[in-house]
Amino acid sequence: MSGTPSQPRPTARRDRSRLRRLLVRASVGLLILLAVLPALPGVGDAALFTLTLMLTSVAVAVNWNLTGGFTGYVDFGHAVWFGIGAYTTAILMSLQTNGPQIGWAAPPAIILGAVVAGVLAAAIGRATMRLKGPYFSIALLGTFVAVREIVRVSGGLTGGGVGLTLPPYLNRPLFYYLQLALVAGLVAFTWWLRSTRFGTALVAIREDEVGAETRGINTTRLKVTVFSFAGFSTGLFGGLWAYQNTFVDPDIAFVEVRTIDAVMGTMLGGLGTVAGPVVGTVALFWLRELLWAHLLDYHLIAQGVLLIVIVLFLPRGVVGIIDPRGTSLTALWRRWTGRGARSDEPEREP
Amino acid sequence: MRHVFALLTASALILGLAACGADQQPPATPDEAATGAAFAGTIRIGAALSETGKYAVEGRDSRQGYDTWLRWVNEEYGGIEIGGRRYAAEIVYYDDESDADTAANLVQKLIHEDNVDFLLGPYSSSLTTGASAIAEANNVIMVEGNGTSDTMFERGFRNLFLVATIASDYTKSTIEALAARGARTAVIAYEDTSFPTAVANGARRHLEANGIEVLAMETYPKDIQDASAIMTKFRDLDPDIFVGGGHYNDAVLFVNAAKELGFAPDGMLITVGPSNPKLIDELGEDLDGVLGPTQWESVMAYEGPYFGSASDYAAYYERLWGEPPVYQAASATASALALHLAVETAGTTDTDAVREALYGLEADTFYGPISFDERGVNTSKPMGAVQVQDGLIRVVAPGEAAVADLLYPRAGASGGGKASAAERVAQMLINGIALGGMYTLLVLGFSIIWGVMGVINFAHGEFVMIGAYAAWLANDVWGVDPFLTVPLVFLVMMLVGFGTQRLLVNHVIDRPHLVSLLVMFAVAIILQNVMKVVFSADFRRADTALDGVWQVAGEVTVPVTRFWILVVALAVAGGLSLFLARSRLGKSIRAAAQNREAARILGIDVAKVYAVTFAICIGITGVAGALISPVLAVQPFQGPPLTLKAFAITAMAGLGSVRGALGGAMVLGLVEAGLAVYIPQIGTNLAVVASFVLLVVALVVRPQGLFKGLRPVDATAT
Repeated sequence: MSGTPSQPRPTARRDRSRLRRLLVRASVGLLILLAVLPALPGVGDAALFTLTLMLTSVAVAVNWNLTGGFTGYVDFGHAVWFGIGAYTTAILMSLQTNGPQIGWAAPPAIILGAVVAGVLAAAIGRATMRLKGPYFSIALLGTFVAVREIVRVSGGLTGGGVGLTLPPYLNRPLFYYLQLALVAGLVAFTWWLRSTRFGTALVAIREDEVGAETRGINTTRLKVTVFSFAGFSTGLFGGLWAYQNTFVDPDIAFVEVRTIDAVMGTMLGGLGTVAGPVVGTVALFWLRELLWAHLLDYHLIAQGVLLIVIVLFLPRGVVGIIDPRGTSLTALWRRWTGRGARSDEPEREP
Repeated sequence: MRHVFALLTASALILGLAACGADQQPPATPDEAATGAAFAGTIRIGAALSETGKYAVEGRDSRQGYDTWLRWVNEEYGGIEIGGRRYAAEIVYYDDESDADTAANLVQKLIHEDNVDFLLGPYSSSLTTGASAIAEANNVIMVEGNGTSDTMFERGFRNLFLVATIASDYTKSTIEALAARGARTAVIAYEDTSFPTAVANGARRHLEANGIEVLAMETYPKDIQDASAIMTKFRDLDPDIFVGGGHYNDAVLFVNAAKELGFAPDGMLITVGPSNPKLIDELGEDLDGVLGPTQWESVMAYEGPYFGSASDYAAYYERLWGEPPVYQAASATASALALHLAVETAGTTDTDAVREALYGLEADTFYGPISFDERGVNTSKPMGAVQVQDGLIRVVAPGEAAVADLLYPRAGASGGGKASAAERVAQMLINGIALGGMYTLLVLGFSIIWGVMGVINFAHGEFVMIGAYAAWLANDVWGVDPFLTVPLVFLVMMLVGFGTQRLLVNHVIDRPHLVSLLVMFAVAIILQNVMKVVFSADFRRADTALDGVWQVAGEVTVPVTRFWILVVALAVAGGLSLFLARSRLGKSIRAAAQNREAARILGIDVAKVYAVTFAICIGITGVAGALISPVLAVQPFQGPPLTLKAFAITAMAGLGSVRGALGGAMVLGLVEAGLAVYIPQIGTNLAVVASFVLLVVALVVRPQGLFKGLRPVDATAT
């Protein structure tokens, strides 16, 4: 922490350690609850599938937050890694010759899917992370649209717009526990990462990239590494999703909404915090399941209004309000404009 | 017929009496059926259908179709007969929200939690694909009539049955009829998603089998906005017939582009749309002579022991729902009927026995003959064809169901000649420049706003869309030409822009880019969905008197509407340049863009300047929307691709540079036109991503921007 400009006051530090204990206890409790959930009466496969989809959203948001929240590189095309993981898995599993079936088994296919996503993320990150602010955001959005179109026109490999069908294997509890373990591991990893020198350096990139560079941090390597990891991890969940969905085509594997949900969930929970994306995505998910299902056609309008409200009035998110280490948008502002207020102050209208 | 009913009712009565002893009443209402008052039990069937989302309309039609069978089987028919006893039918419905994940999940729920005996299909191939995989894995039979993609039936499933004609046979009877009338060459365009691809591949097979040469086959991506590049390419090949389409909205695009470019083949066969009266309302006489396949029409000469004839069914349906049945509803009813008959034949609800009964089924119904092949596909029902004749939808094929003669060549058809290589180059350049003119008008407002106040207006495309709807509405209601709406649209959109700036943009102008980006993005989502709620997601088109083509030389033509758009674009660009360079307000705007603080010190009211700039820019953007309303489809979701194009052009050509916008738009227009014409088959797909590839390459290679604008591009991070 010594490297960051705003050294917290002792009381703030005590508050924070109390907060951290609370958060750890809450997450352990939640984890136990989620682990015993399938054993409860009335929780069938359908409910587990819904929860598995929720876990997928959480994972994508946590990964998005690694670059968007920690390093301040706002990726508007993050769903591309999900699609690449899903497609690699689907291609490998549905490989066919005229003779015997030579499709891969699911586990190696899903892992290789994640690796492909990670490697491509490293390559794309290497090229695009030289761009800043909105340019980076839109370049990634462009990458997303371009990759979807490439998948669409590469019919021989990807099945084109028609897509690929996977051998159906539907074991909801298995996928649920697998993804629960993966998400728990991912969140724990993020939490740990945040306290390492590496994590501190990431935040330093967000706060002042030039300064970090002059202090001897190889910012390019750091940000590309974390971007690549986020791509790998989202690709992994893409592969798992493809297997459960038993079917991929360009328009369901590459969906803008996955990115939008990750951004919205993270903003709602708290950008740049460990717990933010989890809290925000879960809240958003249930809000949609319980409330917005009744709004029918109006729910997207409500979602838009909510986004404006979050951005304008809750810029630090739910967790950000109580955890002073969260990225306030003011910090981003300073990064992009070179002027602005202190990052530990709540934002005000200029 | 009446005897059959009487007999059945009587037997139901007797059985009901036998089952319930003292009960004197025959089963009359579903409520009674549900309580099991007169039935030996209940057969429970499940279906996930779209009540919300993009398939909400077809989902409702499908549900009414299923419910028609349900009412009929419980009230008229007296319940499903198994082993001499009558069972009530019950259908459990859930809303799949038009989402494949949700549909699959709900099927799971229906099987495990509601313990349904059988499943009926959801609407659309994409939802049925996932849902049927769940059914197959759980060994539950699903009968469906509204998911017809071939790929679903190539998976070797044993539990999926389709009563409708499979996608690859959609065009069969129409093509046979056209071949008989002397068609020799054809072109095919299709959206490269599951269902249209299956239709197109089938069409190719049927064309070749009938000795018709396929000159070209072109794909285009989902959500395409402009089919003119494909149509230009086709026109230069001079085919006898055009086969195209994928979804209802594509029909609007194709008919539009064909008219705009003067492409008038002898036969036009559009996969989805012509059988829908709504399309005639939208396109008017331009649709005359267009052919389309149809699964079922109430005038068809089909008849069976259940529901009677096709028109009897239609009458029964209309009594229940107050509207005539569309074929989606008839397909749904037929699916349920096929299941019902198989259960009766099997004499049990056991899956294996019912499956065997379905494979063995041979029934004549109001919907046509039903019998399934080894894939589970009903191959005995031929697809019908309709032709729009004088604004009426007439069935013209197959022969036994036809009520009118096929008109071929269609009225207004005019054969051109094949274009030479030089003519194609000239045409490509003209199209590129015309497209560039449209993009210029579309990008100016976005570029100036970004250049002057540093705000990336992510809702830019939505302001275009609102302008387009305004012009369309004026055109539709009062018949005003879109070109004449320009002054009014400009004024109204200026007010909209002023309001938006004061209310929202002003509050985020000094915040990080992410804030303004997200706020404007939220505005975009809100505007899209408000327009969708108000006007539905159907594609619309405005009519202008400035339409048609000018024959320049040989096969080279200039599209008139686009020419005038180019003229307006150049005028606006010129006027804007002069305004920024000469007028006092223009100078203030430039000053505020270059150095806000200095401008403030010099006594310029920056807030006012920003508001005025935003108002003018949104005004221009609205005008762009009004002018493209006869050219591109007007629809709630037309905005995002336009926003991204505007971003790409602006970032490449300089923020707030009028000349840069013009140059960048022309380059993009020419690149897109070139790709679309010269890359075979996938050209249109590539044109869609051209702007992004150009943008990413330009930014990565030269992050400081290619040209100088009001504000430096400066995209480097360190």
